[in-house]
Amino acid sequence: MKFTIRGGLDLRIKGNPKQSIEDGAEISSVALSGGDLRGIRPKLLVQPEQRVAIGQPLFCDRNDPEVMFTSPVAGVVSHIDRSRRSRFEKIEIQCDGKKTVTFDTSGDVREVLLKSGLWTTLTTRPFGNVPNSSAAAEAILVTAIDTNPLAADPTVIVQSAQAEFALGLEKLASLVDGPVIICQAAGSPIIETERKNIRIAEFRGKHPAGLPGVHLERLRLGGQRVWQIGYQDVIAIGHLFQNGQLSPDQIVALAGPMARNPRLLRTRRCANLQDMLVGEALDGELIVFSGSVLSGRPASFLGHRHVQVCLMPANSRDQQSPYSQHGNRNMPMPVLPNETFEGTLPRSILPVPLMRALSVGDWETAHRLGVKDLLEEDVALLSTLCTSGADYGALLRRALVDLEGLPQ
Amino acid sequence: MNLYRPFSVSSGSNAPYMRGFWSYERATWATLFCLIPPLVATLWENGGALFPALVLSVITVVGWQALFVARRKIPQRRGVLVSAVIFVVIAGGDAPLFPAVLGLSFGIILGELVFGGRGFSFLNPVVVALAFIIFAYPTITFSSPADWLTYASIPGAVFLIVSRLVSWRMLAGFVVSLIATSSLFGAVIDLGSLTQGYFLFIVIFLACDPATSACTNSGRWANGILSGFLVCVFTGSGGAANEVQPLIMAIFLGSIFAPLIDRIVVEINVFMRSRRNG
Repeated sequence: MKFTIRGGLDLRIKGNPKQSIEDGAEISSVALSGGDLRGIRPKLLVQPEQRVAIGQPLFCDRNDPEVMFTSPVAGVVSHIDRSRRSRFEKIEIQCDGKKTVTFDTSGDVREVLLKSGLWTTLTTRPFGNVPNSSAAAEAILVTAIDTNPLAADPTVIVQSAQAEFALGLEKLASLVDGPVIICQAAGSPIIETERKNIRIAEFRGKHPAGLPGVHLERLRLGGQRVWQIGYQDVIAIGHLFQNGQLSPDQIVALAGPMARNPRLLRTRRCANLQDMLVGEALDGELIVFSGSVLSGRPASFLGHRHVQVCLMPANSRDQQSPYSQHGNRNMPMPVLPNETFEGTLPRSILPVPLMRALSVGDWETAHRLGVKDLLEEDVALLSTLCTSGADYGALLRRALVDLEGLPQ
Repeated sequence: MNLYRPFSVSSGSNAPYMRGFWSYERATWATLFCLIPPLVATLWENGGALFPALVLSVITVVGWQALFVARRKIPQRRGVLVSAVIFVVIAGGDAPLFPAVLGLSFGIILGELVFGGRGFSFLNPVVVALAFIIFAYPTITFSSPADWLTYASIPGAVFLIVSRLVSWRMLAGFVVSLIATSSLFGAVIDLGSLTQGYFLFIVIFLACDPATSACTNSGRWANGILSGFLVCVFTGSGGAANEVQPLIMAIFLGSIFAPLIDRIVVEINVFMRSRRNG
């Protein structure tokens, strides 16, 4: 299957990463923020000062205790941030030692994934949650293309772990009745596969050609229950089934105009970015983004599932969002419709009517316009381009939360 | 034209952190710059006679906006200057000062400020102002504009289209529909006149205003086609499509129908989606 995505944008930000993998600096601590896991109400399973091993559960979902998140490193829980409603916001672990939990991988794939915590790398469509432990999907989408600015080339990373990737795919394929579809950039197949229900779809074009929202539409999976997973998470699953242990490593693209030597780095999952960036940044004020500059966030720790770190210059002008320009008046700036918007969404979705529906909180219209086929990352370009300065990702999430509460 | 470079990154607490080049203010400034050549051409042709009208128009729109900023707490914007300049280029030489100020006040208040400013209203204030003058003062005739107006409008038109601030679909729909309808009616209008007069200026700066025309791609085609068709209807037999009255009335009606057109496009889109998803 081959698809060409028209429209889209190439942001042409300086500092693209050299596509070769190097080892990153030693990481002293890792942290996971609770907000990274959608659809989970975390219940902590560890205490501060407790020693944990790689793969030991840190917390589980209150409503579905089988869904667990496990520690990416061995060390000591040093810090737990709680919000006012005692939901935890951040759990930080100081790295120490190499103790690793060994999993019995001969059992049911679903059970192994749940136990190892790798289940949380799956994301449901619609809504973008971690799937329920007993949920079923009609298809799994493996995103092995990344058109975000400054992103790593997934082909290079998959090639460095061919066996793990293949094994991971095989295990995913046994998880669903439907197909596992590998979405990759146009070119030679990222992996040779014999299995019938593992298929390859090629996408050519500028960003958002690499976003699952666009893939779902072109593959005619809109409105169906689909799971999506990133290519690195497939490698992690393969590693688990190969070795019986979680891989503590992950590869990120460290890039951007402020990066001294933009390249791919092997580092820890959820790593402390301060450790990672020692000697990596040029002089001057900078903002460190975990994730893409479009849909990521300024952060001090690598986000769950984030595969890039962007070092961007901080410019003093234009710092304020237009929303705050008028002091306490809080008048939003208007949307000036522009034909460029059309190229930033899956083509069956009308951008300006959707933006207006989201801006005024008209979830019903947003639903009719296909908001359930989208996640935050799909509308990130719109937020960048729109004159209003509205954060359509946040608005979209509010719409999805309300729509999710409705009977399906 | 890169709509997204130079980008800027903010470290504020709210997304979007990455902002494209075209902010609302920058789009306004760009339009204002595109209006400089037509304005200069018009001022050149009329000698100094236009200056009182220009000054008075600017004072009128800025004054009304200041009142709305003070009383209704709407934000101060420079978009009103765009309206004043367009108004002066079209009507400055022909309308006496009192009707001009009255018409422009009517247009800027009811066409824009009561809705909260440009981008929130569905009508272009200049179109409303000119429609008001056309109805209230039928004796005022708009003479032909500066000879160079069309040529002076071309750089701005090209810039706005290339930078996508103006929809080429809307423009194409307008011109295609005008030519098709007039040939269907048996050459009711004189197409040769399109290169002279107000045609290009009004179509680019008023008909294709992104804030008041349809906002979906199919809607833009339909909006342009409808407006072009209406120009033919209002021109009547033997008229020229570069006159102010038929153009303004067509754009006025076209803008009023734009939300309906978008609504129809949305409903078709929703229907197609529900059929696709079962």
